[in-house]
Amino acid sequence: MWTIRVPKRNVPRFFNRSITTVCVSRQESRAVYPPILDLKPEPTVLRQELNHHEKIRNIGTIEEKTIGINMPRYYGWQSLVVKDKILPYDFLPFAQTITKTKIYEVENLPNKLSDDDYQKFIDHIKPQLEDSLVFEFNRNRSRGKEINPIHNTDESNPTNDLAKSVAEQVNRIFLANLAADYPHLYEAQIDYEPRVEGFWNVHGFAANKEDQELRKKKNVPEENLKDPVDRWIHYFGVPTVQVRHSLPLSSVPLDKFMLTSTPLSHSDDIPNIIHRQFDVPNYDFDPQIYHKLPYERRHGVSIPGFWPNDPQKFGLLSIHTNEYLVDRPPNFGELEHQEAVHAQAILASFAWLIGQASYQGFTICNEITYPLVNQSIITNGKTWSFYMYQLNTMRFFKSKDTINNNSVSPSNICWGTKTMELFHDVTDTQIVGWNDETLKNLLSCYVNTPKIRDHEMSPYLGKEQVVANIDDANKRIWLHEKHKVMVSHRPRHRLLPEVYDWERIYKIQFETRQFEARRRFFELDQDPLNERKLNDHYGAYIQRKDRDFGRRIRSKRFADTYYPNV
Amino acid sequence: MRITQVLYKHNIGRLIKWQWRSQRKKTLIMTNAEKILSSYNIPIEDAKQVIREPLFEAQKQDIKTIMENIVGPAELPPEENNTHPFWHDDPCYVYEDHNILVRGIEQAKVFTNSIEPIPGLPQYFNELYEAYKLPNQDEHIQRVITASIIYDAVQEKLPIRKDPKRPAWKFPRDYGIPDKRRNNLIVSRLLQLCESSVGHMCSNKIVAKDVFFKVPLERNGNVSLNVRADLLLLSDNALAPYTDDIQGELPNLFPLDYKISLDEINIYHKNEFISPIKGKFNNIHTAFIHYNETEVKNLYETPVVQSQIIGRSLMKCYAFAIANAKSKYGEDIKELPEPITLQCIHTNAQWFHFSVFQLNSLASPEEDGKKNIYWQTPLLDIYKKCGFDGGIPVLEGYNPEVFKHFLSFYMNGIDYEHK
Repeated sequence: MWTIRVPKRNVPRFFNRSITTVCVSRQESRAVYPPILDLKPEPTVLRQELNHHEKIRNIGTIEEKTIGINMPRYYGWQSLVVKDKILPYDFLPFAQTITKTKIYEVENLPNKLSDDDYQKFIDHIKPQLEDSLVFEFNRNRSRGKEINPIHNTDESNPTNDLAKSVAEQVNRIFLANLAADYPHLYEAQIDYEPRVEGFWNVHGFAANKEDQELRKKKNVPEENLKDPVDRWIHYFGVPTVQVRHSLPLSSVPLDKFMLTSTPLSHSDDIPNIIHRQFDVPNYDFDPQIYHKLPYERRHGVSIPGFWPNDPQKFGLLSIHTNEYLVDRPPNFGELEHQEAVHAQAILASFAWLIGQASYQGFTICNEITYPLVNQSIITNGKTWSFYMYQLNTMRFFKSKDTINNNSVSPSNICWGTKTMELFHDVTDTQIVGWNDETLKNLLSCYVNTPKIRDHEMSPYLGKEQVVANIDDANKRIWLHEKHKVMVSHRPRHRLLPEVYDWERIYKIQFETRQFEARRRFFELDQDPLNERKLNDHYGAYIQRKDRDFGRRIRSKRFADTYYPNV
Repeated sequence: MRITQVLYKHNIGRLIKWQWRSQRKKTLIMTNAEKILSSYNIPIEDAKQVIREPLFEAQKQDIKTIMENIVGPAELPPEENNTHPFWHDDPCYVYEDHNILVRGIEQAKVFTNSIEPIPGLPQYFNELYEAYKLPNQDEHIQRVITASIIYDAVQEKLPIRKDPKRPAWKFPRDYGIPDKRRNNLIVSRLLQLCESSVGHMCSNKIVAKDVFFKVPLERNGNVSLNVRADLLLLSDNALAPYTDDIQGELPNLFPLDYKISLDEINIYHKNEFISPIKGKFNNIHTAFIHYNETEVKNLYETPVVQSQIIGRSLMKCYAFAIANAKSKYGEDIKELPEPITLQCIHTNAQWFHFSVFQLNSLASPEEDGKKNIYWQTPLLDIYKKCGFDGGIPVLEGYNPEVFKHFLSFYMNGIDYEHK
């Protein structure tokens, strides 16, 4: 670039000193100074975290917020993978801790129906249910006699097929019979085996050796090495059936149902009996050791089973199967199996609800402003458990405790019943021993009507809401494709950076190759896995024929990227 | 990673050579223990005399029992030749879900011994056609289509995309809703919509998913129809037959045999009949068949044509009808006491093919007996285009007529006058 150098003495002096002094003295009275910041390391980190969350809050669309959460990690977050049907021993305290859930094992759920309503419908439903269940339990699922006489490979577990088809039949019959009286069921969308993922952060796990090593490298003082750490949790689930609607379920009146540990409370016409109550424990052991949960590096995604463009964004009911109980060792005990089902319900409900909340513009970085409610059913075809979950909080960062001055922060609440039988036995033609209590619970799950709320549903979303409403075509297409690729968990074209064994021996442990140029990341003191940002790459290359009319100019060789400013 | 190149740079070969060189001679180090001990007159005993290797429990046992307890290598499956225990010299012709008849509907008509009296559906369906309507029908159907085809969040690997003009070009792998899931979603949701609208009047039907049939036939050789109904609507009362006026000729396939393009296998169980239809609901009302592009293929890689798709509907209808007859009247049934009628909806989530089949006899086409009857509509597109276009979800060219057919099929047999 060419500049003209002007000798200093030739610069014309427009202002002499007296004018500038006057200006300053006039502005002195209304000068606004920046706030005085605490520059100690801990408050600085906290401030950075809050600034980052504030920036994510100001993003206008749902998809951009998902990208925004992943901006700090190019290769994704090292996250703890929790799957819906993998429930190790003693999983409930862990499930409660990572979701901050209180669970009440109660006699009646908050959505309980009265007996008159129940009788009105059940006469129609019972015979149909009987026909379907008899058919499913006696159905011939064979695909022919085995050709290979010594075929002894593992066969697929038949209980899953049975539980799945029973759940679908029950859902079908209840929807069909109630749709005329409850129009929300007719309008509801039904998902079969949708993809549900939840991604969130939990602060408070004890630091393990690796965390302490990492902190030492970053020159954290000795006394802070053992401070609790953040863990990222990624949940993967496939509910059997999911029913959703464009309106949310109304929240549970907490004063009525969040009871203290008094065993009986006859405050209402429905007596509510609490069998057991599990408060939120502080379970900070390393889940990799205690539950053998794997860590995987993934981009954080919260999906409630559909894309954000779908108008029916609120869940009514999800049905899951618990065929995994068959494979658990019986010496775990009846009580532990029951707790495993509770844990499954808690994780499934929480993950689905944070997916729904994220489609309302809330993220794990920005707390929800109103509670969301979900009902879930867990079954193996014969035994059924019913749950109701109210999501009050989904932001578990360290700054949360600090903001609230360590006061009691709200916790999520789950009400659940014990596992109960729907019937005693199935014969070839009929069902023996109906359990009316189970039927009543089933009915009350479907009858619970979603209502319009009188507050703003998505305060943190801009006017566009989703990427499809963005006017700029280039930006829209880029964001759409980026979001779909990021969310698909497809493997990267290039492998993750790693230290090969020969490098560890000849370069790190023993410096035998001083003559070589230092180009690898560990020689340059870089940590690409944890420090490379998502937008740390060029845009797509624009071919010469497509730019500058084919002239040999090297100006704009890479297409624009539209990452959110986080 | 291949590290040979890198390690050659770092010449450690010289070091290794030195190691070998220094280690090549092993010299025994003489300890003076024996000498010293004998000078003190201490007797020397061989350590092996004192210490013995312990005998394990297994070693004490008889070798024979040990050999019996050994779990040997896994037994190999029998070879698939005439030494196989289920080998039959006469082959069985198998029609499965992936098979397509090469001559399409003509061949299927000969195979199933059926004729098509009039183009289109029977007269009776014209009455049903507009008799019943769901509240806000078209809005709900469009909602179901978009939710099943665009808004479902499942992302699985789709088949590799190829450009025939540039066969070496690799496209980025597509992720999205697999065809099987897409078909299942749209059919299940449409059916649920129908059921929710009739309320408790749906009590005379039940729905079964993924139903497998295996129907043996005798057609100058063993034939087995191993077909799957992806969704089956079973009813407790049979649909009435539409006509007994049966006249017509089967198409001439010369020089082809009508069993052509069926798979030939020699290892099979003879006359194996599998049907899950039993009990109270022993009539097939409607069978829903999915056309999964990844599954259905011609033998010779040519694209599947429309006539072959229609032929697939007819073949499956025939298999279901015979299975229904056999499970209703016994496996050895020869003459039907009354015709069996069923409806069939064949779809790939974009086109729908509606057909009605009336089974009058189980006879093969060689016998000059009664003929079966088949009515069908052409393939109807429920939409022209559905997907994301430049980041915006688009549903173009929605055709409301298709769901009217769907609904009339569902309502057939329900006493809808009450409503």
